[in-house]
Amino acid sequence: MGKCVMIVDDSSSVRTVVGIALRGAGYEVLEASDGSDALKKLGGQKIHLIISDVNMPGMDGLTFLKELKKLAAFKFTPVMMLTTETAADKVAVGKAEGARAWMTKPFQPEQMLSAVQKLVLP
Amino acid sequence: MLPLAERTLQALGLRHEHAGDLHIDASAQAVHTVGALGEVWQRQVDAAIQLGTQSVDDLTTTFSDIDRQLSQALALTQQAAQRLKGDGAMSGAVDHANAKLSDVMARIQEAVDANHAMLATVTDAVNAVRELNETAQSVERISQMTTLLSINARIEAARAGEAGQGFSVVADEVRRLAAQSRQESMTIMQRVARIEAVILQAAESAEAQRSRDLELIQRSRDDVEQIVSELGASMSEVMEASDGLCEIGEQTRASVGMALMQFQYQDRVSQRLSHVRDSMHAFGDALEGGWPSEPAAQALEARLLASYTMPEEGRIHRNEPEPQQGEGGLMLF
Repeated sequence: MGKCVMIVDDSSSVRTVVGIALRGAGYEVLEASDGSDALKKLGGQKIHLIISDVNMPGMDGLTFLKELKKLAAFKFTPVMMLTTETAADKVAVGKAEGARAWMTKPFQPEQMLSAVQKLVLP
Repeated sequence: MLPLAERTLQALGLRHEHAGDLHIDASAQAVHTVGALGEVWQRQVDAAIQLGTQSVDDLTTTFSDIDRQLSQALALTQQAAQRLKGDGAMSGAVDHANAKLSDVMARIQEAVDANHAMLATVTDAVNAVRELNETAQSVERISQMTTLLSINARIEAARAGEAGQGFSVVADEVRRLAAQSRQESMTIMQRVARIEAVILQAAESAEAQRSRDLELIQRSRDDVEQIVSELGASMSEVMEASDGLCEIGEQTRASVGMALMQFQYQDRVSQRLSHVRDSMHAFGDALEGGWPSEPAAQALEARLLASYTMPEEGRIHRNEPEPQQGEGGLMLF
């Protein structure tokens, strides 16, 4: 069984595109439509990496990151933000809350997969 | 830059009226018109966002299905190609077929050789029968000579008179035995003749069959060589086609992948339109209190600026030229 990556994004097409790239590289993929949905779906299986958007309705990505790090089981789960946001203050907040990487859209699959490979839990 | 209210009135072709009530009415009408127009813009932008999002989501799903099907087809083609090429599988299959067919030919040759050996045995039998016939003929000649001798013995016994009577009896017995021997030898010769005829017939049949077998073997060898050659040629064609399919599959999959990646831009478009729509909504709210003052207008503009998430939104707002479009960047912490 391959490693599991969770994608959190309110855009269905982004989840599909990221999912195709990840599945093509042999990862299992779990999808969530925003932070709240992601928190509900955690707990079923080991998550090796989370890729999250920042601007989402409901619970945004930075709030989700903060809530995630409060959970003992996911304290050390690496999170990469995948977003159109480039504002330095937002990036700083993400870094402070524990994000391991910040990637802006549109992304190149090779670059994203390289980052995933570096960050994913063993 | 002129205040927002002035720019709007100019755009609508309205002039400030300096008479108090008329000025207020013209402004109120303009506010109402602009407010209504703003609502229309919001609805149009909303509809565009929804339509664009739905269309791209549907396209993404379709392309995703295509990618999945391509992956499956590619996997099957690569498996088949691997089976044909892996570890000399193709040449191994042809060699195996050749070896099997050669075994068959060898067994046929063994059968023909066994037939030929049988023919040799039959020939030996024919020779043995002929020798037997010759022996029977010798016995016949000996019995004839014995009969003559017995006749001579009887003549001599008759000449000997009474003294020769005992000899005459012996001579008679010899003659009887010779006659019996002759009869037996004639029977043997008849039987041998029948056996010889049968064996000769069998030998002729075996010889004819051997000729047919040799011809069959040669034709079969020629057919086997042709079959093996055609098999090899067919497998080469299959391998070439398989390689071609793999290549086309990879290229198509790469193209689909590239197309899918372009759908990321829909997300950016939706967000940018959302920011404009939200700004229109805020503007409509502000108009409910009358035409916004300059500070209020500037606050609206600041709010719009603050909503931007992409650098190009700010550049477009400030009407700056677009730099070369950059792709996504990565920062690792």
